[in-house]
Amino acid sequence: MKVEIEKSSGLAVYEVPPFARTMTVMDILDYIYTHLDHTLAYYRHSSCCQAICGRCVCKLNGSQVLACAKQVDPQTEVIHLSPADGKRVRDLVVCRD
Amino acid sequence: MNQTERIESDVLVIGGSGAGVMSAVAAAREGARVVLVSKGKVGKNGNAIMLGGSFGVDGQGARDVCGEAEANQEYTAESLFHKMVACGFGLGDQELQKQFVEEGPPAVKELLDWVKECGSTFVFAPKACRWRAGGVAFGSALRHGLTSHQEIEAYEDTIISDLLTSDGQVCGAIGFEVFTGRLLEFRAKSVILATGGWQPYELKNTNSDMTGDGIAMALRAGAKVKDMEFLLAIPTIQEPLYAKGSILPFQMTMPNIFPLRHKATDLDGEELVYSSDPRYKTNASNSKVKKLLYCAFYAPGMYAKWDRYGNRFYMDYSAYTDQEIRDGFKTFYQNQHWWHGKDRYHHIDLPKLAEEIIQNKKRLMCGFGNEYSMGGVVIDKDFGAGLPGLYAAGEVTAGVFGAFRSGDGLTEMLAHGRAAGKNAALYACQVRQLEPENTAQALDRLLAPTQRGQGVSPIEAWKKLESICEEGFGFIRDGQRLQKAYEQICELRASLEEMAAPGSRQYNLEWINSVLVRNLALCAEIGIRSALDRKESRGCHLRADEPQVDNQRYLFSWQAYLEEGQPVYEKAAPRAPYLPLDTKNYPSVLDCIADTILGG
Repeated sequence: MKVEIEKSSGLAVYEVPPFARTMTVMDILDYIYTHLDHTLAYYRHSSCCQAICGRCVCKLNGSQVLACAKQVDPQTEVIHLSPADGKRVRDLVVCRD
Repeated sequence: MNQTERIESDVLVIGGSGAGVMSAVAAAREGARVVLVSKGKVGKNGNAIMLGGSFGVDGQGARDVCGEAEANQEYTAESLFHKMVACGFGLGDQELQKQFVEEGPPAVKELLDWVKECGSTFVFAPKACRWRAGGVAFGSALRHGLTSHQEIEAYEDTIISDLLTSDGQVCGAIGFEVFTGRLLEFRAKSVILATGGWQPYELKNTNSDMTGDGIAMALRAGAKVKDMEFLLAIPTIQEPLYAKGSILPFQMTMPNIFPLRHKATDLDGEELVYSSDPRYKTNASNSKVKKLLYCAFYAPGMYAKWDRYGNRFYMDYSAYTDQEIRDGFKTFYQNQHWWHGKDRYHHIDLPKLAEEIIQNKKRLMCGFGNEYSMGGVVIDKDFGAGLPGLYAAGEVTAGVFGAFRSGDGLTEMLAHGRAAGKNAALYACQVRQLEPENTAQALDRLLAPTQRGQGVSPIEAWKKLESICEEGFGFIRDGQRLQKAYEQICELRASLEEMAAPGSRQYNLEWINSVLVRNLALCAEIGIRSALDRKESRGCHLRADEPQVDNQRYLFSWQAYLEEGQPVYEKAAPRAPYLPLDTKNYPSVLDCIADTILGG
């Protein structure tokens, strides 16, 4: 799967190996951060990963989603991730307060 | 660029969940100037928001203090105290257990008032004396409680990395704001740690906050910790991945909310037998014992195939028709809609999950996910943490639950918070603000990874740590695996000196994680070492090679402190001024449960 991310420095494109089961946007971001790009910023501190805290908001293909709850079909070829509305802090992290 | 902003108060509270908010409010009530620092946003962080079931107090407290007229009066304060002592397998601190029982009801009452004020609903179950609630509502109530006290100054999305001290007295803390990277120096006359527990596993059902920050900071400041080998695990979803970490499987074991009974099997389909022996029958007031019973009954079968399947088993519903499974979930979500929305348990779409289970040969893949850590900072009955000026409340502490948590973590955080807040405020009235002596050292430690161009990646180290703990420090253990895990974790912890997190400090995840993984690794090293040296089974410490509960040799806590950065271990006898300790040995944890908890 090709993952395009609008980082603060510009568009970054990552190739994520095909996965067998449905993953969430957060799973994909975790994969990229851990294995491909340690500089990637997305909301991850103090995160519940079960759509309770509601803070990991970003945009998937232009629509605002909770990264931890939004599932991505394994057959998808390309996804585009961008920051949610609000004051951008870094990459996909915005300050919405 | 490395300038710090200084913030002064009488009492500094570190932690933004139940124990933190309660502490802050209690300290403010005493007239103290209070600053609260929260790793995330108050009401949206910590483990309180992960609540997916219920919490309670004894029947008298529920009726007389909390106003629940129908509360079961047979569930007395005395019986709750006895249950806690037995469930602690002798290691619980009876002073703290008494405080939990006595101070739980007024603390819960205060929370229930906040719940009411913000228009939310918790449903009281009179027989078990428990309030059923969801984490979002619990979090909203906490936020309401905090914001009702405008005089409390809150710093959210702020991580504390170290305590500040002066000649052995705690007088502040160093931290940073995650969004901006701004460095903050908090100075206070007393400090309360309310940072929650720790859990080092890949399969987690807790919030990601649980990195043992308060435990590790207290150790570095000179305090002691104990009981770090005891971690409570419950059935948790492994797959489907989008639901991984949910405690739904444990909820599904409760007949009053989910009508179907599962058969547990390993991944080859061989049954993991849960005994039908009537000695293991639980009732409403001791249903939490089932958490430990599931671990103990499923452990032998899972241990036999650990190398192949690790922490995985199936909850199998093949005895039921497709329609019965759909109807079972329907009953479940009809019970849950107040807090989770129609057809939901948190974010899980239950009708969809029911279909996925049906398609997966009517099986749900689970593992034992860590829910709570019994170990933590050693405190006295006034919640002092052994260093002048330092207090601790909630899951960051050790002692109230000993080797197995039978009471509620939520009640604990509220009851502890009230007492710790009050005591820290009273202490602050009597002392003057001290000039910290370790600010520069703490800042150097915090900033070192940002100044290193290359080195160990914090997230890679964290993943390695999880893998070490999953493999050798899981819910079923043996000496050989623990020894290997201990050697690996020591090596890993040493390597963290070379962590690198270059670049801007603005939301630098590697930098954030460098602080957290350092804390988690210290907790893990002490936990694994304590488990290795406890050559018996007790509570949540289950050893396949040492199944007996050996009260003759091991009726003590492993306590640890640091000397030049390295843990030193000592034995600590349990504080038991009210009930005599059981000195009999038992062939296994299951025998001990049958004799002393369910049959006692």
